Amino acid sequence: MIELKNISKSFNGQMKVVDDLSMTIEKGEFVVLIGESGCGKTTTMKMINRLIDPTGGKILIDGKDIRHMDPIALRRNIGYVIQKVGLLPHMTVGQNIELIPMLKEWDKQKRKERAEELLNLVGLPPAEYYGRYPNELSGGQQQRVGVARALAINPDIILMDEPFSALDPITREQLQKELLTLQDDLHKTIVFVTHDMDEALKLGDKIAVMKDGKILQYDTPEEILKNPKDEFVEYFVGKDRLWKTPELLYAKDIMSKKVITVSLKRSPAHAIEKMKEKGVNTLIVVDKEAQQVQKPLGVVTRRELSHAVTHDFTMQDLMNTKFETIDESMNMVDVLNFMTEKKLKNIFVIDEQKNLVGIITQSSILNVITEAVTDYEEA
Amino acid sequence: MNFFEFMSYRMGDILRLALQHMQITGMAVLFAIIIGVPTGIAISRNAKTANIVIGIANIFQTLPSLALFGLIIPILGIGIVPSIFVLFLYALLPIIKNTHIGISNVDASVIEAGKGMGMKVSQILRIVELPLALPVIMGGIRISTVINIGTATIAALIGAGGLGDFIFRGISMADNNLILAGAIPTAILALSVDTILGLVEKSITPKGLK
Amino acid sequence: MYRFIKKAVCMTLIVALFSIFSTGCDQQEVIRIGHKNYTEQRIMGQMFALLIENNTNYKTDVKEFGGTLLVHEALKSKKIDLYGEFTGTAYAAILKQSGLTKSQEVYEYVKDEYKKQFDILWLEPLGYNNTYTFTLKKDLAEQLNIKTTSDLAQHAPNLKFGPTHEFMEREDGWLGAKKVYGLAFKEMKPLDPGLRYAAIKDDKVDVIDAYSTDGKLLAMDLAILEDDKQFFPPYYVAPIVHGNVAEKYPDVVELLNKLGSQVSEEEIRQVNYQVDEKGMPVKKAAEDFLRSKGLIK
Repeated sequence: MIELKNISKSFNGQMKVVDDLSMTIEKGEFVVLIGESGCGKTTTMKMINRLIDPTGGKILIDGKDIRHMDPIALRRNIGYVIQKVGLLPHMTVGQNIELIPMLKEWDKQKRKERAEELLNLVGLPPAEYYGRYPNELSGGQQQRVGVARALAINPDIILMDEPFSALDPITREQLQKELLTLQDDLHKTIVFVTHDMDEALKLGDKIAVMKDGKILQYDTPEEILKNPKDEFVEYFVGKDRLWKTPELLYAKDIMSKKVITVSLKRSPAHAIEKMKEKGVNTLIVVDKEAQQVQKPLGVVTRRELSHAVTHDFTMQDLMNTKFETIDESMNMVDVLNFMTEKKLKNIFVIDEQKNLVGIITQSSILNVITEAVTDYEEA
Repeated sequence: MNFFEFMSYRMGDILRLALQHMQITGMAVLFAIIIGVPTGIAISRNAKTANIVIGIANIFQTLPSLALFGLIIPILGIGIVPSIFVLFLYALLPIIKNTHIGISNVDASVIEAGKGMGMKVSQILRIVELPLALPVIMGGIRISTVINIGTATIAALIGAGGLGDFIFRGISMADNNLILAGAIPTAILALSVDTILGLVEKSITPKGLK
Repeated sequence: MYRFIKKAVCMTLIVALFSIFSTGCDQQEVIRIGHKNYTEQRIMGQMFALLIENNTNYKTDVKEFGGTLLVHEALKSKKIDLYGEFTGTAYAAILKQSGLTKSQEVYEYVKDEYKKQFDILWLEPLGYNNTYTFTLKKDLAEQLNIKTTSDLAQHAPNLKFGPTHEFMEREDGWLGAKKVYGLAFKEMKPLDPGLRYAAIKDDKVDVIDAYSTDGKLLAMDLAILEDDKQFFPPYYVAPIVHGNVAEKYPDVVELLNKLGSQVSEEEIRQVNYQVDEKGMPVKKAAEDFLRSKGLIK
């Protein structure tokens, strides 16, 4: 666990680059620091391995104040990956990975085995890559070696300073994916700096949005997306962001909460009147209209009712009980697939207690999209 | 007496003076490496001192040798010592400058990575900076040595001998044979040292940089 | 652009006309004098110039050359009209001869050879002899009781010698002297002509070679050793003039010959001393000297 307690940093007594910042990073957590350049995110990260010492506050790693640790020993137990990779150009891939093990005087055999293991881990077959020089590798391959090097002595913590920013989009996406796979196996505590919100959303368990040396919001990606704490976070996340990541939109986000219900005992005439009044074509049949929490029992449509007005039927007789419900936490992609698959025009959304919370209709989806497009154009 | 007869007639002297010449140059460059390389490393940590030190080394370069000799005779006397000293001063600039450039031009990201991984300053210098700067430093030593072989003819002005002896005798006697007997071996010496150090430079360039 | 070209053409024409006109004048009136790159030669150059300018309507143009060979080549190829040369230098360095030691014989020899080989005329010698001498500090000379070069030879194995490169290489210098006097110094380090005075001043060397006319001998209180075996040939110095010039300007030749036998060794040493040690401008020193001799007004 890494705890930053009220840390500040100013250079030469000038304006504070990091200003009274506190955050806790749990063991095994993937935390992304994000913000515009100059917001203090890199400075904050570099204070964790004491490349920069704070001018105020303290940093604890597993409860120990790092000020009292030897910076060299501290850094050797923290993996470090940077944007420009920084491989030693005069050493082979193998030598680069074995550098710190060598300085720690591991024996040769152990070093080599470790390097080969890591090369396999990052998808570079050792037989082919162990003896190559960095300038013989592509940018993506170099950064794979950079990651392997950071893992060499199996540190608990890894700091990554915009490691993928210089790569082309395809390679970047691939490395992001692989990093996530790697993290699933290794459960390192990762502090990852980026200015790319897509990357942050994709990778982070938690995201800290920074501005002017302060953390504006430190939350899960969903919370940041849906409940940006202030205008800057909202602006930084981008209003259109949700639509770039439909996996993060859930049924409850796109459903219409305007659910018009009708009681089991009601007559078709009453139901039609209600439809006219509320301007809908579908009513949901529930036990009792007045209740706050309801379970859907069936559906009636205007067309079905219009044939039955004269008869002495109640909703119970007329309703169609063959309807589909979905859980409110189902994501939008799945919702749409589901509706297409079942050829549904509308679908009920229920919560964990199977209570009705909303309805998704073709028109409600259209509404959400229209709203988003308008926002996007305004922005 | 034609030139070749003259050369073979004076061959003994030529070899003796060439040997002296190499000794003087070798010592001067050796001292310049011993002082210049650490100085070059030290100043690459601080741009301000770098400007000052390179400025001073630049001034050394512009001092007329006769004036320098005149100034140091009371202290260092005549012969090999003052000539090595003056040539050492002349040799410093390219070595300091190239060391400084070589170290400063090492990719900052490589150093940052090294530091971030927990390498000590001394390890970064030894494992990262020096090997990467070595070809440039060697280039400085090469330039310095080659220039010095030419310049070392002035050692003859202060009684240290060397091939300059022939050249100055030749100039004062208006004797082209004598001048050439000094100048040609000097040029051959400079060219062959240049070639040899060029090969050394190539051989120490790390494989990953070629 | 057009206007620029017009302007350029005009300028070029003007410059061209001007230079044709002016060189035309030069060839008629200017006597071009050379000298080597040390004090005594500079004084000589100025003496010739002052003498000519004060007694004729000719202008003079005095140029310094970096050494014997250069100034000799300049005269030979008529880039200059005259300069002052030592008979010994002409004999040994230019004509590459050795053997003669009598100054008059050397003078006659070089005069004939120069006429034959280069069409250069030797005029009347200025009078003083310039010759090599071994020299050491007076107090050391007294202490060791060294008065002659033979005395020096006895003490040489304990003394350090700092000669010029030229002296080392000359038959009429070290190469001959060591045989005649049996000289063998403890240490021999050839030095720059200027530096050897600094070296002897700081006792880094004990003995140096010098020209007998050098003002430094006075300034530094150095003893001139007697050449008791008459080894060093005494050399005359004389203006030498290209044959063409002599034909064209007989008045100049006549004028320069007036300098004949006018300058003693002591006198030239004094003039050198005034310039080298007292900082008197060369021209002023030359002028003072000529005036004292009544050669200019």
